Amino acid sequence: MKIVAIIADPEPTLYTVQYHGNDKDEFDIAFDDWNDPEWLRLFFEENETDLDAYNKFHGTNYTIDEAVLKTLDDAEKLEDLLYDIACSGSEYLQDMFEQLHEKEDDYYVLQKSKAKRSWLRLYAIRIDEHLYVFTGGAIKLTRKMNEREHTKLELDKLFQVKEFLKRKGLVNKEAFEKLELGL
Amino acid sequence: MSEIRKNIADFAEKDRSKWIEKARYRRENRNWLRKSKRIAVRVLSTLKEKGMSQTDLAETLDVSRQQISKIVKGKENLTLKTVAELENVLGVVLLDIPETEVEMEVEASYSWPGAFEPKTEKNVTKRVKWPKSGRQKWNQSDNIYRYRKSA
Repeated sequence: MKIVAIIADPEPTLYTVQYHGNDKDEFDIAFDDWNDPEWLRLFFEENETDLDAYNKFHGTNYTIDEAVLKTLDDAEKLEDLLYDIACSGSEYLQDMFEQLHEKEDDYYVLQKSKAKRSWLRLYAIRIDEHLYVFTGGAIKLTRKMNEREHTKLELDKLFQVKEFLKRKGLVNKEAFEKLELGL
Repeated sequence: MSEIRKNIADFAEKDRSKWIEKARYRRENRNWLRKSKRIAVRVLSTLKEKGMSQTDLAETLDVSRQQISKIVKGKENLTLKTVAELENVLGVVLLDIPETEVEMEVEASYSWPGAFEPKTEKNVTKRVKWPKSGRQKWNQSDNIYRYRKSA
């Protein structure tokens, strides 16, 4: 696993991972997929039952074509937001990312985090204030991540990246020790 | 810079993610890419309805499978000739020119020379005369010209 910078100027802010054997990093993969009508159509065809359930739950009526168009539009807006942050060097990342588990209201070291726009999800490990490592993206149509293979995979990646960062000592040591001691 | 930021910067690969270059390209080419992606969505759904594969389409149009792949990924800057050929083969309209009334949004950077210069106050909306006919509004809040032209 490699760590690849996304936003590193003027301060290191957002990183991602690139898995062994992949020629693209996870951030690049997520936005390439979400900008690809063919990939999106295949995704919604494979998850048509979930799209139907989503429609029923949210009172919407997206066909596969409409779901593809909506995702293209949402991805464009999300990418714009991140591009603006990347170009301005501003530190709004922590405003974008929230705790993965909704019951958590504190920030802590190596916390699993997410940013979302509609059904699009960006998953990341929070290393420090305004410093995140992106682990992967997903289209989440179900309530829980472990209900479907593609979102369960993102949970596994969050765990793997967290362990990798810990193993490589890429943590705020002082804060990590406090966390371990339960302070 | 804090120790952890320095550590991660040192640990990271020399080359940065290619995402930023791609995001810039997608932004700079947004207008035609949007159209290309919408055409891709329609082409894909029509292929599905007709039970045609992308290879069938490539053979019918006498183009490479790679070109069809670029079209269905919304990456191809299609010529009008290609659009017309796709429409003929698939039997669907992919591009349409409204006959009577058009309403469109134009990014401020695409205005003609001597056009209305934006004021600095927020949410200023001002009507200006379009070069030939019709009228146009500019809203500073989203930096978009809205132009309505009657036939």
